Amino acid sequence: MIDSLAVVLLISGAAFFLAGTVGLLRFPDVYTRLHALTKADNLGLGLIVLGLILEAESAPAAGKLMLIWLLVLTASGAASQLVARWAQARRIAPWTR
Amino acid sequence: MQHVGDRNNAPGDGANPQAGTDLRPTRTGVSGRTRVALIASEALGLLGRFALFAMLWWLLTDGRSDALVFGLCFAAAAALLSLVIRDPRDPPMQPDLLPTVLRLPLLVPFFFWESLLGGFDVALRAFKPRLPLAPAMIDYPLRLPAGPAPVMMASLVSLMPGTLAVVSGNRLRVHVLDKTSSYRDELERLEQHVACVFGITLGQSQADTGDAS
Repeated sequence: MIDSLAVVLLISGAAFFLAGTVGLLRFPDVYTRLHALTKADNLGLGLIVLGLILEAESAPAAGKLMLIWLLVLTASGAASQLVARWAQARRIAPWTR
Repeated sequence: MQHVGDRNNAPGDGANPQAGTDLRPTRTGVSGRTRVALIASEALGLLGRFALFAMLWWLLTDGRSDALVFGLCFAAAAALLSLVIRDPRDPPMQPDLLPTVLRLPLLVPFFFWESLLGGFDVALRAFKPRLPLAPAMIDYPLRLPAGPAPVMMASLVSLMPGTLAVVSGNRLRVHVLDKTSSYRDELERLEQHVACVFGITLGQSQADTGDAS
């Protein structure tokens, strides 16, 4: 039961990583690509961490996974703000249809 | 965040920005009561950092008890080091930092729900053959005072469906994926949440922090 739940979480997490990468390749400009990376990867990593926690051997191992997620979350949030701010300083206009 | 307006209570005493209630400026600079409060908040911060570092060590060593001796020593050293390396020009530890940290879990349900929605939304857009994007840049005037609160808000906005934010002065520049839908209500709700966590009461418009007292 727990094993199959973990498998579902891991596969859906991977699907969101794929979506983030597809968005990175298909979206037209720096801002829209940041949308794809921050949101899809955050959710994908969250689902994968959740699936791995279900299979973790000990409480510290589960805590370590949570810590990894928290660090990646902080880093990606900061990085996306920095990249967006850089793009604005360069006066890169958002893409419009 | 120290209120600039408090200085009005002790004119001519520049070294005493803390004496909000003490009307008479003392010669030594800091009155006894505020000094006790300062030391208490420093000690509490030190203890909190020590607990945090010890916890990290416990996680990294997979809870091994024979490694704990070193871990506790280094956790204590790291906590003390944070006192030493602090820039003396920085304001002293803010006493309202601890309640903010304790109130942080209030944002967790909101954070999880918006992450889920935002991830689904952007994944669908990425996979649809015709790329349903109509991006635009909008400005959102912030009611939060400058400091960590707007940065926290911008990070959360970037996880919400269809929005990506950068702090720019006293407003938030928000890049939206679909300019036909309105984001203002959600942004206002999020700002309310963040203000609650930081213990800030929001004014009608961009209120100056100095006017609060």
